[in-house]
Amino acid sequence: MQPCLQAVHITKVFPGVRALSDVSVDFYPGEVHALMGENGAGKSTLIKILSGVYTPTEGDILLDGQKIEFKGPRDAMDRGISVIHQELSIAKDLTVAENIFLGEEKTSGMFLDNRSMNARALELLKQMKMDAIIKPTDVAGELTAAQQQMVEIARVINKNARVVIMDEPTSSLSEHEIDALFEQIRILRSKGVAIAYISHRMKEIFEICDRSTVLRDGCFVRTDLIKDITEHDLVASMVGREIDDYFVHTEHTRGEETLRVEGLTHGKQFKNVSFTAYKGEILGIAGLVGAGRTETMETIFGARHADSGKVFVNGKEVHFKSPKDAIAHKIGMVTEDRRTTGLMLKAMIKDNEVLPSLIYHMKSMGFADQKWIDTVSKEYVGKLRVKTPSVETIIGNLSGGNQQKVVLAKWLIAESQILILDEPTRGIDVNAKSEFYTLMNDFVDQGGTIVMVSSELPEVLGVSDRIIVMCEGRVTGELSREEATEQKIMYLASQVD
Amino acid sequence: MAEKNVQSKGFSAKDFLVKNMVVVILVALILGFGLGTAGKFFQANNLINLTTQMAINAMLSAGLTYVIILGGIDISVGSVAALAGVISTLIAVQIPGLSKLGSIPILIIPALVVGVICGSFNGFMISRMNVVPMIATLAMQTIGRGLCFIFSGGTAVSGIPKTYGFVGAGRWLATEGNPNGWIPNITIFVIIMVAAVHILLSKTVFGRHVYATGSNQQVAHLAGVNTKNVVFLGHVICSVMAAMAGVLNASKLNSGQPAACDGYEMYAIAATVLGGTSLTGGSGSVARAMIGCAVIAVINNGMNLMHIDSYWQKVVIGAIILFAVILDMAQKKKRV
Repeated sequence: MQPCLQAVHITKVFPGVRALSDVSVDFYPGEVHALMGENGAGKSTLIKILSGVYTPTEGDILLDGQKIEFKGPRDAMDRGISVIHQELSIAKDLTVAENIFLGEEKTSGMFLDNRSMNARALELLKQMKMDAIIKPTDVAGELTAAQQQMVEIARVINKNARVVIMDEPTSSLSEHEIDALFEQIRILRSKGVAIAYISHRMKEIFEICDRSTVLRDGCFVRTDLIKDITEHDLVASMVGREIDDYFVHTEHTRGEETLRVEGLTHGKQFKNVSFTAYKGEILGIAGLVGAGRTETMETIFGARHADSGKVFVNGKEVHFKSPKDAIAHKIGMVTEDRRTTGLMLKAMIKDNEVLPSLIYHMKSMGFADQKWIDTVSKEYVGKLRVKTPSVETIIGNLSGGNQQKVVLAKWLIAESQILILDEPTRGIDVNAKSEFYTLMNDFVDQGGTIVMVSSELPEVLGVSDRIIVMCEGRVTGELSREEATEQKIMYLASQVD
Repeated sequence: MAEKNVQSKGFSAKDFLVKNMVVVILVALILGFGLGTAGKFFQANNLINLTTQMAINAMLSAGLTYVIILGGIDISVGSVAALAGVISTLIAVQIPGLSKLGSIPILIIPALVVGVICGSFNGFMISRMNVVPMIATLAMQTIGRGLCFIFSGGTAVSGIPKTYGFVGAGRWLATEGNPNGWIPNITIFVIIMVAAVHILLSKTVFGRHVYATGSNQQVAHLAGVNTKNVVFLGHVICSVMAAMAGVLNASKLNSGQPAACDGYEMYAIAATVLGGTSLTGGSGSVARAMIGCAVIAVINNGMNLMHIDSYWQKVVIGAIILFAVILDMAQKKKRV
């Protein structure tokens, strides 16, 4: 059979990064093809090349065997390649029918032909057996996420798409809603549409997909028919890599309990999360993107409010109304995205360093203690070896690694005893990572507690004393440093119930 | 999934009231002032006056609706209006034998020219140079006002032929009891213009793209909508409507004032928001903005009739704007 879409020896180089090297994948009509790999394996880059967002540095895209160069996403769409993005692409203020026809509205004369658009939308929804639940005139923003996704699928059907790329389409759906989505995928498949399906969930892959391709570190690993491969082999080929030796880990002595969480629950984001962290320990929280780890940490830090559950600090139950309360209890949080939530990018290093501590170092009448600010900010820039001409440098001008050191300095100055680190080494280079791990070890050696969320398996394995794995907002397992392996973590991280 | 749906479909009197609060307010105000002025409010003459008092703001807010649905704001409409008024009257002064009908192109052509130029400036700065709408239109506001004074030499344009006031102050259907006529020309003109921009927004592909762009620019872009052009044209429409309002105002007063329409942008924003157009973009309508205009006009008119200090009118209108925005936020919250 002739593949309808082929990626042939695709290489994509971004400044400083080789996102894909020599990857070839074929997509056949009437087949669901799983694209698999860890975060950063190159799946997103490949999707963007197939859908015309990026042009490949080397290699070709073939459509029905013919070489083709997409002029942009619109061009790819016009040639029958549609993407259903992880974040929904729905204009929430428009109706269902208006969304389905967005960009290709039907008109009669100079006016919109709402009647025929609504009729066609109803026809599509009937085909999908969704007409009892979704009406063409419903406002899209008032539908559930699952229903909005159905609207996107209706749009794809209306466009007569031949290849549909679905990027983690089930990430915001419930079990019941996933069944409804799979029903639609089967209908599309029976019509000869080729589907590229990206998901981390093993169960789904084996339920809906016909073929799988694994990428790792931007390279092609293997393509198999699903019936010829086992879950174990698939996971092994996704990870299968030596843990690099730049991880710094020293033996710590575990002290008394410092942070305990019991049954923490927040709507759909996380349910019944319980764990305990101790003095002198780095607790790793592993899982895939979207497992609810960040939301859990933000809740502990008081930035969100739980529906139920308890948090104990040093054995006493606490109720944080806002991060201010958490900081008063000597908890610090290094957020996932330092550029938007970690730093005031346009401010000086010293102002960033002292922000959470300012209210504890006020002079009379509320004046800031400039002398203290200057002394302490210089002291910590020195201690953490931040490379900068002075503490008055605008922080946005520093490298990622040095910025992250300043974020850490901020919490050390605030005398934090418990540090929550969310993806602490994202986007910083190898040497800076290694230095950062050393600083983490020093902190723990001095009696601190670290809870580290990381999606990078080697990092979790290399740095943590103990590892908790989350999946879909639940804790699915706990592993000691000795027993933890990439396979075990990946297995626990894809335990969808 | 299904249950939630049934719930949202059910008719709820509370939802209806919240959605149409502005209509309720309008009716309450009309009844209140009707009683408060012992029926004077309901006299035919007053009701007709009311439409002429609404006229300028109706034009401004109809155009502004486009920009606000796009998620932007335009605070230059007052200046653009004044500039069009000054230029139109400067031309009228040059034509001593101006006929009544001849005054119409002397209004419309300068308004179109000024509107397209000013709107293109705003639209270009916002859609192509990525200047924040508030700042781009603040610049236009200041530049426009400056040009008014430059062109007029700093004083009101004088020596305008009486016939220039035909559209702005003239009336149809003179009777014995009312020799001036019943139907104001300005009202007819405004109804035609507003209906045109209403239909453009609600019935055409372009209008649909305005909503889509305002709702989520990225989504619209990915669906193949040329969102930059949509933003650009939205600003052109807004400025053209503002310039039309300006020449109507000049014609109504038979005078070209460089300081005309100062601060009118705030009344226009107020009317649009009162009408339920969300300041975060994506939803609203010209027709509903007209209800907002009516609320403001009724408050001003009614308070005048009751001899309430005009300074208090500003306080009341400010409070009502705040109320409308809080209502909008409450609606948005419900949706999440």
